[in-house]
Amino acid sequence: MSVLKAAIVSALKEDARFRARHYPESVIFCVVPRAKFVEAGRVLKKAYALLAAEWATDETPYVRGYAIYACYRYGSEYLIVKSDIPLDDPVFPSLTKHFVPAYRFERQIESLMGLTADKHPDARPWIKFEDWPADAWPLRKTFDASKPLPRVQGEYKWARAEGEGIYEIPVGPVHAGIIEPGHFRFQAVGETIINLEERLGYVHKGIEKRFEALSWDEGARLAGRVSGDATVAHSLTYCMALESMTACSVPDRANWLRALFLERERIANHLGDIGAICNDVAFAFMLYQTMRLKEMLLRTNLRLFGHRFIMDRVLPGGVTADIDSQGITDILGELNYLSQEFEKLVVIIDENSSLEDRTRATGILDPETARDLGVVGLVARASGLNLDCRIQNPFPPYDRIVVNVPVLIAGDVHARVWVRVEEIRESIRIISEILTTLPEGDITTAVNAPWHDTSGFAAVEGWRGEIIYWLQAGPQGEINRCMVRDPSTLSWLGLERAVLGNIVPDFPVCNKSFNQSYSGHDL
Amino acid sequence: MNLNPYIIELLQVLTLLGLAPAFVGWVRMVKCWAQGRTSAGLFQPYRDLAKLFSKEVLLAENASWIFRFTPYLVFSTAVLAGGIIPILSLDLPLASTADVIVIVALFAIARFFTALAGMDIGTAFGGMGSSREMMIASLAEPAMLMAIFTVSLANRSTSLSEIIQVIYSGQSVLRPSLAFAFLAFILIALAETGRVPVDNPATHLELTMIHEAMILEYSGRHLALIEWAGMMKLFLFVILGIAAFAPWGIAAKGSLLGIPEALVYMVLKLGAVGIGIVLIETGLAKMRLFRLTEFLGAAFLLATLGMLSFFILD
Amino acid sequence: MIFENERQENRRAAFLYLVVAHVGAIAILLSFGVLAGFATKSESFLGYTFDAMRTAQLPIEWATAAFFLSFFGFAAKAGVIPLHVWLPEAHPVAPSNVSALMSGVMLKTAIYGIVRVTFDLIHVFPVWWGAIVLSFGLISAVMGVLYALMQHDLKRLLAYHSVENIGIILIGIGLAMIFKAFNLPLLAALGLIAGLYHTMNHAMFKGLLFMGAGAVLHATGERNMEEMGGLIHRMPWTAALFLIGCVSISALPPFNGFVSEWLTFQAFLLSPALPSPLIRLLIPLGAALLALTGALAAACFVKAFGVTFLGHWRGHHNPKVHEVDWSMRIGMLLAALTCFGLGILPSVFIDWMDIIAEQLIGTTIASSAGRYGWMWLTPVSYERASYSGFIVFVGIILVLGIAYALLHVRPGTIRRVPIWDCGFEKINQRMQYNATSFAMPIRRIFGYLFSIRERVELAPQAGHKAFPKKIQYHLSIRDRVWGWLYKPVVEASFWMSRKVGKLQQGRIQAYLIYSFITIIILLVFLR
Repeated sequence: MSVLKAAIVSALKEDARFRARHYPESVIFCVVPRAKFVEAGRVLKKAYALLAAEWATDETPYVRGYAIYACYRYGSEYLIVKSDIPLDDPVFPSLTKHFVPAYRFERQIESLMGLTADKHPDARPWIKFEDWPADAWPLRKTFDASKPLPRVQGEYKWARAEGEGIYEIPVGPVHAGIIEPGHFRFQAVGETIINLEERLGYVHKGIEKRFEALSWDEGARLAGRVSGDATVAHSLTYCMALESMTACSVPDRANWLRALFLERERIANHLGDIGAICNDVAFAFMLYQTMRLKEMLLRTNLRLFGHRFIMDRVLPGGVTADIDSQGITDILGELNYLSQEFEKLVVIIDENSSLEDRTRATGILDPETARDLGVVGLVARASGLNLDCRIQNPFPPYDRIVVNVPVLIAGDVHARVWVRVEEIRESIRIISEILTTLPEGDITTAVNAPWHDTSGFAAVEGWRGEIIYWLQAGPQGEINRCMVRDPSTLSWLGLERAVLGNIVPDFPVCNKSFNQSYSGHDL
Repeated sequence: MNLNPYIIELLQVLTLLGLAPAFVGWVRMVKCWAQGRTSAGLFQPYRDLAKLFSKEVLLAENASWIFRFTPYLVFSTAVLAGGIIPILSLDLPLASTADVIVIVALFAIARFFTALAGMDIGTAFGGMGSSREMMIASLAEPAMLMAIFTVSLANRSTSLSEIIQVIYSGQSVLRPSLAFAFLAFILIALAETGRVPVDNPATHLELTMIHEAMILEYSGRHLALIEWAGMMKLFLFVILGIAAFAPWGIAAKGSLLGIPEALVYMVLKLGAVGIGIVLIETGLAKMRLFRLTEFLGAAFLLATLGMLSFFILD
Repeated sequence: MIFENERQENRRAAFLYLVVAHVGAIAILLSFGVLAGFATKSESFLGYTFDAMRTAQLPIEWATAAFFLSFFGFAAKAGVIPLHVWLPEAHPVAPSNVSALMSGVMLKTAIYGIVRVTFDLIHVFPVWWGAIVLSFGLISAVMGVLYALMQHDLKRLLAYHSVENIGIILIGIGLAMIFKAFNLPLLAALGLIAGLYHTMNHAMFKGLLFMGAGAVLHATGERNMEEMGGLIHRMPWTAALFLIGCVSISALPPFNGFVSEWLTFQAFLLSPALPSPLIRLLIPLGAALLALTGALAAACFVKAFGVTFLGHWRGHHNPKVHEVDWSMRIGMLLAALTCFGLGILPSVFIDWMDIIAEQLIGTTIASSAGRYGWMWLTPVSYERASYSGFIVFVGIILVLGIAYALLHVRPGTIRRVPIWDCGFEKINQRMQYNATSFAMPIRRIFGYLFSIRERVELAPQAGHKAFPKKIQYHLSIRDRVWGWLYKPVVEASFWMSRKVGKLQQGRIQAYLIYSFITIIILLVFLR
């Protein structure tokens, strides 16, 4: 029996009921009374589980109340705890005492679903802005998204440092350069950062609400637009969650092609990031070189798969773009060239002391804090946490591919650059492996509609880290709820800690080394 | 009355106004090539200036007269400095108005007011830029004066045209002290003109800016004047270095015909210096803010070494 | 100063001032005593005239004693580091007009004293006296301006700048002494004129700045710059005049501070004429320190003016700030005009001052300084260096005017819009730089010269520091000189008084026994 399940069973006894109709079955799903919700969290924390996501649903279509869910991860296990919340008392107990990430998950639930987190230390809205009416909860079924909302006057209380000499730097929401909007509020004394508070939500588009009005197929296309730079990973996660609910067996070739797309996306983004990090310390040469290589990849994508970012090429049941032997030869040749060029750049990155001086010991996220905050993906791997869904929860075809990911413990900008460098090398190798062992066969299959009141879960390692989708089919088999958890939701927290004690002009390079998604976070 | 010197003076100011953007264009052009890109051409800075001049001025609602006065002052100190530093000829009526120390102080006025303008609107970025600029200036200025003093001691004058005349008359020999002073001057000039590794003139990141942060709220013709003055400052620092260390080619007194030749020499030298700047900027990342102490400390040390070697060896 | 004696800090400042002034006065009297003693070689009081002292033949040890006593005495009055501690305490609590006077006259009296004793009364002295004066000058200049940068009390900041400026004056005088000791009268005259010119300049711009600070204090009731801001909109006159003071003291042309600094640099540059190789090597470093001082002073006054007059109001309460009345404005205006006049017409004023150099050193620089007319300042020779504040001023104004006129041929529009600042619309007064922040880079670079304590307290929320509920920042900067020099003395005297206090048990018998023992001891030793 799994470790987490054992922990729950021994602590909660018959309070915990394990329910079926949740897929895939490897993910344990248990329902506990609302009063035991925190107890379950405490027990799992003692079993070294991390909180991966927390969300709420409006289950009125089933003539039930609301429900609160928490998803825990431990090694390769996922466990979801659900508690029902009555309609007339929309309050749930807060997990903040045990899990730091719950802090923002619960503010978000409170803002968007209107469920109050009991004993939560912070009542400020998150994602939703203060100029929304107080009782506008967009994720509730009673909320009509087609009507415009009246704008109200509101005040957001920022964390503020006291003491003579403190001033605030408001950065954003509009940033120079091609960056998404977001607001950072520094409390600083001269160049020393005393505190950083993020304010996101400027790109809130109501995506989770929008899913509920779409068909399952359209949902895949929307998922591909949650965060444009990770379009393959997002649509793949959505599709895998849906396919698990419908017991759809995706053709093998499609799985391998999906992995191909995913790795190409990873290389392209990492290349762009490495260049952008160097550009932020005025080493523009590297930016133009990596952008050149990235562009080469994107153009090949366009030529072979019909889209630069391979958007909408992953759909439920398979993929819509195939590759022929000529394409395979092209990609292999391109990879060979890429590898040679990239290694030349790596030598420059490695040997330029002025660059190293800027990246080393800048923006350190120490392993302990990283674990507390529950950061994922490359941020976690640069801070000593060995987390990668491709290894721990290998979805096909990764169960047949050996993936080696680098784990560094320095936690500074340099480590995050270096994790990217190693991942590019690894992805180049993986792609070669995929292309040489690509099985023949169909690339798509039919997907049945899900049964009513089932739910599906999937986690995929996108280039930023673990993406989680949780889908719930409504009474008529429609989408009742689509929960999206982009890695940014967790890793944004890391940035706030990493910049402490750094100087103000080092913030941009710290931020770029995290490069979290605004859109994927704001939804 | 001999009008020649006045014509030369006017020519020189026009050269400064006209060629400073081209020099910046050249630096950007070479930089593009060094990074494997196509450049926007030599004349892009002119187009940028023309665009800014034709735009409407958007002024922050609480800007005081200092904010509006600063662009004009910065511009006029740069032009005045251009009338004093021998760019083409030594025959400058204004040359005796100010020696090198005064020229350094002229740039200091411009900086003083730019820093004030940065604080005028009352934003975090403006003040941040001002604070950084004044910090760098206070470290760069002693080093700058030490380098200049070495040159002045070697040539027994602080007046630039006198220095050049001493060099021309062959009384000045190649000295180790001047080599040190020259190296120090390069470091200081990079700091004073806001180039990599001290400041990044091409950055868009407000939090890392130094000079750009102070002028973040400027627009229209105000911004155009400041940008133009910035280009002139870069140009003048290069010319200052040329005048103090390698003046060959500048027309001697009373020679109007030497001017075209001087112009050719100047363009060649500027071209070479532009390539040098690009080599430095392409090969280095910007330094961490508080590493600048070491950078400028090194400049100071070099200048001091120059001074000491002057006393010991010469 | 005791005049406003309700507050404890006033009394402390007054006490400190009295102590320093008295110790200084005693030292000066002792010095005159030494001089007079040798002047008459008798016990009459005739020796106390300057004429008598001037003719006295002093052995070098006694001359040194007299010089150092008087230098120490006057330095204490002038606020030379490390005898400066009373100055920043006294100025902030004194009424502003007194501050203006104090810096304008009193510090100058001290300079007068030093010049009088060294150049006039003793008039023959070794080189190393000059080196000592120069060193004290350099230390005072650099440390004074660094301390000033750390202040956010406007008057305290200005007071520390007095320390800096006394330092600059002493640099000129020290150079003059070195040159004179090596018998280079022309160069000595240049150094002396530089020092004296700066003395005059300092009286003007510091008076102006103190009056400006007084006007601000009067209008806002605040001395703390962290509570000010944006005053330029409500006090346009004071702001403009204060700015002139700032530009002058920051040694920027065409104002007066630059002239004296430029002259001092020229004096430095003549050091190759010195026969002693060691001094020749060390003197340029002094020039670098002076340059550092000038640049830091500019930084400090960008901060002082920027934080006080620019940006938004930072205070918690919002007082009805108004411009000061005409009498105060005229006072400042006159000082500002003098600063300007001293800046663009230095050769005229130097002509007047040359009498002093003539008397004390026996030569003048006027013949060379003003050789090319009233517009030019050529202290040594035309080839060597020249400066025309007048043409610099006219040139700047001319180009500025032409540029302005050309750009306004076509009526351009200026549209007033909200502050850009990254598109964030809810800007408040906390989102601007303040004095503490402005000086932070310099505080960090020169931090080892101060004793700085910085602390951030976080009150965690929800059990994790990731979401602090309360953040408190503390910063304390202390004068190291106080810790090294004065605190031990103060502690020692407290220790002594505690020991003595133990003896005082309040019983009459005990006192009688003490008296008895004392008498016995006295009898034994003084038989």
